[in-house]
Amino acid sequence: MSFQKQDKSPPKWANRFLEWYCADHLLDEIQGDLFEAYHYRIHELGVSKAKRWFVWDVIKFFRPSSFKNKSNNSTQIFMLKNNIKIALRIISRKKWASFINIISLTLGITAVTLISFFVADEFSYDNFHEKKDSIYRLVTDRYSPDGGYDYTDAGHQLPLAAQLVSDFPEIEAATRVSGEERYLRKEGNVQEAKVLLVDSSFFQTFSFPFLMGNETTAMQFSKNIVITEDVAMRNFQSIDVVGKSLEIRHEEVFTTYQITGVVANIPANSTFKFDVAMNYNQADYYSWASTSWGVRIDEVYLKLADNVSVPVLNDKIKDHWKKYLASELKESESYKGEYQNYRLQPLVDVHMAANVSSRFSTSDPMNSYILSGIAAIILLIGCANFTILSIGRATMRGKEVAVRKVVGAQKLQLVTQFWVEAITLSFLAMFLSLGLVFLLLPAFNTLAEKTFVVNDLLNVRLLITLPLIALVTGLAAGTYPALVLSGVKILDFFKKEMKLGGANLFTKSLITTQFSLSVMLLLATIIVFQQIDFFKNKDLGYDNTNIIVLENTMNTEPEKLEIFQNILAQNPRIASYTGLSYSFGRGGFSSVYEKPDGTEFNYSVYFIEPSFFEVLGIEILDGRNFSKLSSTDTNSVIVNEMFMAEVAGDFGMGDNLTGFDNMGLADPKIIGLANDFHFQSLASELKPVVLMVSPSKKSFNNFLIKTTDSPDSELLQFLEESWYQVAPESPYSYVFMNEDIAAQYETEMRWFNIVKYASIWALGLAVLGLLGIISMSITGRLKELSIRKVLGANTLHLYYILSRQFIVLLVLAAMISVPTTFYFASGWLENFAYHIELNSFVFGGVLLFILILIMGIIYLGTARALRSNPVDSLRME
Amino acid sequence: MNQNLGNLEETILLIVAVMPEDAYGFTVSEAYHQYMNNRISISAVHTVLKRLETKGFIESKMGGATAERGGRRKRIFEVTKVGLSTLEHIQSNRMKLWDMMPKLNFSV
Repeated sequence: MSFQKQDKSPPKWANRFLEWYCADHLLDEIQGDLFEAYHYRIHELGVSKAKRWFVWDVIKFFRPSSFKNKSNNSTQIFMLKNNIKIALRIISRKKWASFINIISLTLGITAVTLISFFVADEFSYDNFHEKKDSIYRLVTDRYSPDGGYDYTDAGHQLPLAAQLVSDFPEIEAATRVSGEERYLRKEGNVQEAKVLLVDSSFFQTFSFPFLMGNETTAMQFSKNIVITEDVAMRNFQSIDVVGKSLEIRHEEVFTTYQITGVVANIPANSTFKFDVAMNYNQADYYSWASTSWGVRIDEVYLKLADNVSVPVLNDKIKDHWKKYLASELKESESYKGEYQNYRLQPLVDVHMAANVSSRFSTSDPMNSYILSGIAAIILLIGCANFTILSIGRATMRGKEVAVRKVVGAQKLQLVTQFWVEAITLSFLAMFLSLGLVFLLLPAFNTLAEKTFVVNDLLNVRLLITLPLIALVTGLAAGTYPALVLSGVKILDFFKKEMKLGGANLFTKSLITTQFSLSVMLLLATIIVFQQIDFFKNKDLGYDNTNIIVLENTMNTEPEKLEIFQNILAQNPRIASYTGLSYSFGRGGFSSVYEKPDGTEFNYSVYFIEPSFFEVLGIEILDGRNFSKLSSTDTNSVIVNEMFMAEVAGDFGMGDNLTGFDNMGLADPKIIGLANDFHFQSLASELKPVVLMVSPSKKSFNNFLIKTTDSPDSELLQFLEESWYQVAPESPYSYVFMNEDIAAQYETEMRWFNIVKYASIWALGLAVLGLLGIISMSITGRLKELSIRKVLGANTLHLYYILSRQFIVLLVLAAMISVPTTFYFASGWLENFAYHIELNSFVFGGVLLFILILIMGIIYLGTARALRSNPVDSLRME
Repeated sequence: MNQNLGNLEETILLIVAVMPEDAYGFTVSEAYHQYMNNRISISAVHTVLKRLETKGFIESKMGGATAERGGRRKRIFEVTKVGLSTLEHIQSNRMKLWDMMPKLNFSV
């Protein structure tokens, strides 16, 4: 009985909460009414609902009008108000120091906010899919023959997905996904589009909201496509386009597809980014591979049934490949350990899985970590400025603290006071940084390759995050001053024995840290710059200036290319032109050659025309070029120096490469030797290359045109018009070769910009801090300086005395930062096969620059004091 | 009529007026629910009652305690003369308007 009675009373915690906040004189009516209501509601609505109502009512009464009388517990609020008032007074009295403080904190908070946008966005990838927790990607961990782990691949054979669904009841649905660029046409208007190839269950698995059509029927038939809102608006000026059609190009032919759905534009934080989604099961597409277990083309995403244990399924799925891949199974016998294992990877991990070779762009989590590190460094320097300046002013504040203590202030109250001061400042800084964030957003977007929009960011999360960042900043910056200043002993102060002013060990180590970090970032900037400069200026073995690279979209109609070439030949501004299997920096074929002694080496293959050497300025060092007559030289090759060096003992100029059987050539004759050229990014080593004449122009994916002078719009227009004159069906697209090659180093360029801005940011902060601490220490030592002056010290000597300690700090900072930078920089440079050597002049130069900067700042800060009449400061008392 | 009355305030004032000796937070909110087919929370009722009291339309005194109330006393509200006349004023103004309502039948 008693148990039941207990159960029926209103929730105790809520009642206690009510009694805690509610003013005594209101308790009768409020609590009485709530009890009475609860009493009747039990009969009317049942116990649990009545309880919920009670809690809700208690929460709704939680408002100032029902609170206990303010005079009863207002000391804290009063003190808080007073503390804020004092803080604001100090801010307005010490304008210079406050300015430095607020700017430092603003810059720190701004950096942290911007970078937190980036990091939050990176980790939010694919989180918008409703079923994200039961969607997994199949990946294969592959091992090398000697037993070690090799790499992880996300590509799989086309028949696998369907097989998995029938073999495992735990798998509800599977969809293959791969993406590629295709040409889209609507009434003669050709555009490039990102096409996603999927299975019919794709839209039921992933949450891409449909504006028109629906997810179950959209992918029913093979000639159905789903387009995004943008594509619909661009082509039809409406989203009501279900039933209309678009043409998509494949193998030279445009085929008509019917639009069965329109989805909202793809969110920026989606791994799959597409304009058009189309079905895998098409007669004309990948039919050659659709039943093959030999090629790994697509990625497989699995929707698991509810309540499936992933570890258990992982164990079962691990060896699934053994059922279907007979040749691999045979091969695996020669392996010491594992051959390969299937594994389920959660969808939300896909974006950050930079180590998996994927069909979709991933992101290295290291970027997020490095950026977070940079944000932390900048915030740290900002906080350090505050701390240094607060300690520097300790002498002034000491009197205040001592008086407060005499009057009876507790230590905790004093600590709170300084904390409130710091937090007040950091909140002021927060409002400034809010403006700064929006001002810098476009620049930041370019740096971080994001598309943040002000409106998207002004959300609840920001309104919670920003004050939180400000609060943490304030607490961090205020802790040390609060503890030190509140610890002032009253007697010490009145005996004038206080030794807080100027630079103590703690502030000295902060300044050292600031300068170490600045030096590190500055060095990083210069080293990254040097490496990029090296990339740009290194002799690549060929000349890529004034070359236009065309996509050879008419490669199934070689006779048209012939006509196009004839038109080009008539233009005097075009020096030469050539077809090429792949333009440099865009991949290509490679293979393995087994020498007569059984050793193997890797080489790359390029299909060329004789004009290749003329267009790219590659020299034939020995032997001859291919004959212009296409019938001869079909079984001849030209190799580069690297290749020649590899086969040096066995073959020479004019020999037949026995055992070489590739691309239709058997034991070809070496007829020429070309100089080495960097056809890949400089991050990779030079490789042996075999050049062969193409049997047909079909194998040219690119077409290179060398112009006599730098190409202008007139020439580009001529090219485009001639192109469409010859092949109106084939889309025309071009790039400049030097820009195309430079694009390989985009990542490095981006990091260069990031460290550049970060180092400017950090150095600016450190300089501000130094300026602050110098003006502080001058004020503290004015009398000493004046006495020295009276006794005959000259300005130079005084200047030496003042700057001495900072020079020592710089030496310390150099000792920390130089080895650290050296370690990280050599690690970074190891990524590139061709890189600069770390130069001691750079390190020395940066240190010298900082030294001069410090001396300059000290001079700026002290000049007036040094030139002043000593009488003025000595007379003060 | 020198004081403005909101819609909710007017309704609550009416309820207090028709419930002599028995109008307090809980009963008023119950009556509101019963007559207006709409629920408002007890805290909202308290706010309105307090506002009406400062405006001088109602006055209050502490009443007796009951077991259901956990031994807590009620604050009983009663309409003042000002309150009553204001209500009457509003009502007569409205009636004037209602009388002017055109009594037309729409037919084709």
